Amino acid sequence: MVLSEVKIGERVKIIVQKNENAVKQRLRTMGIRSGTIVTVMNTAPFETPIEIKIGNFRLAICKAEADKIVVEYV
Amino acid sequence: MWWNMSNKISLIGNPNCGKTTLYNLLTGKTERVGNRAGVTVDSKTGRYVKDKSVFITDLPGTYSLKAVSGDERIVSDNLNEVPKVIINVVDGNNLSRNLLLTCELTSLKIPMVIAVNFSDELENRGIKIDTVALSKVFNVPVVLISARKNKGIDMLMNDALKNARVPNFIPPDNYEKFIDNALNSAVKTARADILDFTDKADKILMNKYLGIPIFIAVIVSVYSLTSILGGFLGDKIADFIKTAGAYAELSLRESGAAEWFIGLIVGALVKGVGAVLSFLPQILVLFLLLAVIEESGYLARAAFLMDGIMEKVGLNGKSLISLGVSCGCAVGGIMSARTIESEKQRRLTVFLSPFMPCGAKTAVFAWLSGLIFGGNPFITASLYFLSLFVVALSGAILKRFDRFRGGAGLIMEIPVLRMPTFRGVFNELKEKAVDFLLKAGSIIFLVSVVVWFLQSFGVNGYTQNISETFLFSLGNRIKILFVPLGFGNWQSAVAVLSGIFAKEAVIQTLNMVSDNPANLFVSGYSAYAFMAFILFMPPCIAALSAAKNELKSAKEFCIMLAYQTITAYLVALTINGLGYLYENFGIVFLSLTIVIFGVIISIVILKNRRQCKNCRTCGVKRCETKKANTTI
Repeated sequence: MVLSEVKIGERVKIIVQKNENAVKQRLRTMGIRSGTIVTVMNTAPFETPIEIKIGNFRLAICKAEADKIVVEYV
Repeated sequence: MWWNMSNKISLIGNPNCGKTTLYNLLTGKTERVGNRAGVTVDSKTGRYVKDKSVFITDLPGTYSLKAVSGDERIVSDNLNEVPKVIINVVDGNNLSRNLLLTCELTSLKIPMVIAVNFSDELENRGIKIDTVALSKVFNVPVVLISARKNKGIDMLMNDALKNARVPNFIPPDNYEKFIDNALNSAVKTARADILDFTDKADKILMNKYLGIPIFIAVIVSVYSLTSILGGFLGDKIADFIKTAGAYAELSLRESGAAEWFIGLIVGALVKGVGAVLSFLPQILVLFLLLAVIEESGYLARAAFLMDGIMEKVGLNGKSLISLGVSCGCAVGGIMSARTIESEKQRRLTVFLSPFMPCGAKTAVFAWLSGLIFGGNPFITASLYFLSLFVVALSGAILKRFDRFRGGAGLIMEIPVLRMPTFRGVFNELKEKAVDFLLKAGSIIFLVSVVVWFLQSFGVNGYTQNISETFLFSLGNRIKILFVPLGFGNWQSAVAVLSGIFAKEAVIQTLNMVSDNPANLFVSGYSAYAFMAFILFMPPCIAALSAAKNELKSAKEFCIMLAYQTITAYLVALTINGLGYLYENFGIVFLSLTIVIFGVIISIVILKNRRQCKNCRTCGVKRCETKKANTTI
């Protein structure tokens, strides 16, 4: 399952990221990496971007990038 | 540099962790603050109020020292001039993310102090941070502060000046493990992951279906409050200036002053600068509302909601922030484009931000629609939507060119919703009022004097016959350009020219060259075409120099100027043309033309130029990247 398929309000754990290195690096500096637990909070119109919450940090991430983040339910 | 580097303290931290609020406290300055990432896009240096020999440098927020966007590059560039001490500001609500940058900073071997900000919010959320334990882990002093509530600041500066130490070096591979250990020993959380106020409010504000209607309601209320409240107060000032002007003229005549001197005072000062001054309340109301939106954290939410639409026209959610800031002033809007990672989207945002009706343009529209359309609020409101439409259309057209096509998807922090502080909003308003008065006293006054001189003197010296003056012959030479747009008279032509210096100058020039500016326009639609031309023509000198700075290339800058001029001309031509059709051939013919053109335009825009989902940058039918990605 990928992050963009997760429904609003569900909590998931990030398994692996298939994004290009620049995006992966950028997300890592924001504390998002394999093993991070995120909650999907909101989806914008047109399905992109989605809002996720990591601890007390909220991040908007566009669908194209969320498509490449593999997650599983915790 | 004028500051002494040996005594420089740099503020470094993640975006939106309160560095500029702290900087304003320490230096007594009033730099812009807001509740979102990327308000500060440039470095600023000031003296510490309690010890003038100490210099404080405020830097844009960054997640990492490895630069990505333009504002982040400023941080790494700035660290080349090594500061004496680094104050690493961290958001106590988000320690695990903020401390990643702290770990990176340990590699610099510069004495450091950690300031854990938002101590007031931590208290409310029941989070306890053990500063002693955290200080042991990094081997630097750690101080709890609240920059918004002005708490712990003296202690922080005391530590920064006396106790700062070089932190223990942390190897990059160990960052995450190191932080987990540090947090385990130093942070006591009451309950994790509870739904707080922001989450609950966002269920409505960022709702898939409700979000955009709310956003539109916000725009409409900002606009109507500005025009109703600002207009009401502005009328009072205008009346006062009129009375004062009449009194001044009378007393000057009685004292037997020279005719040209009376002309200068009444023409340039009262009719010119005075006309502009009466828009101070309107501009202040506009900036007050924008400051509330900025400080509450709503702007980032608007960017979130509109990202999908913006992407369709080649822009990005962050471009919406630029467009929103440009509704106040295009200079700020153009500079915020720096936070956009992709160069092409950044360029497009700089090109299109000046299309928004800024405070000065809003004043021009309010004034003209008051004179010509009896203050019909629909006229000025329609210009807002016209500007959004032209931005979208421009984006859809321009993204077909390689120069603008392609970019990265949105990755943007959504800030916590916060109550705007009185100090923040007040500082912003004070700043804007001072800016406006300085502008009225300098550039607006200068344009007034120049216009007065040109319309009072000709080749034969001082004259009261307008057709002998310089201004008349200048206007007559260029007016032919504006004939197709419906305002081919010399007065409008010189007003457009003066608009290049400052958009408010359009008001003063028209007011000075004509006793009743409404007569300059043969019809309502030619006046509307004039307003549209002012809306889309290249912005004022201040915004142009900001754009030049961001584009970093004379060629790009010229392309932008050409694009904006052509757009202004075409839009005004279309409006005047449609008005002409309506007047001469009736509504049926007009609608028919609109439908035909609408169909042609939508075919051009919607024509599917195959773009692959994976790389987004190519636009060619067979993209290697796509192939490579799908086979994985």
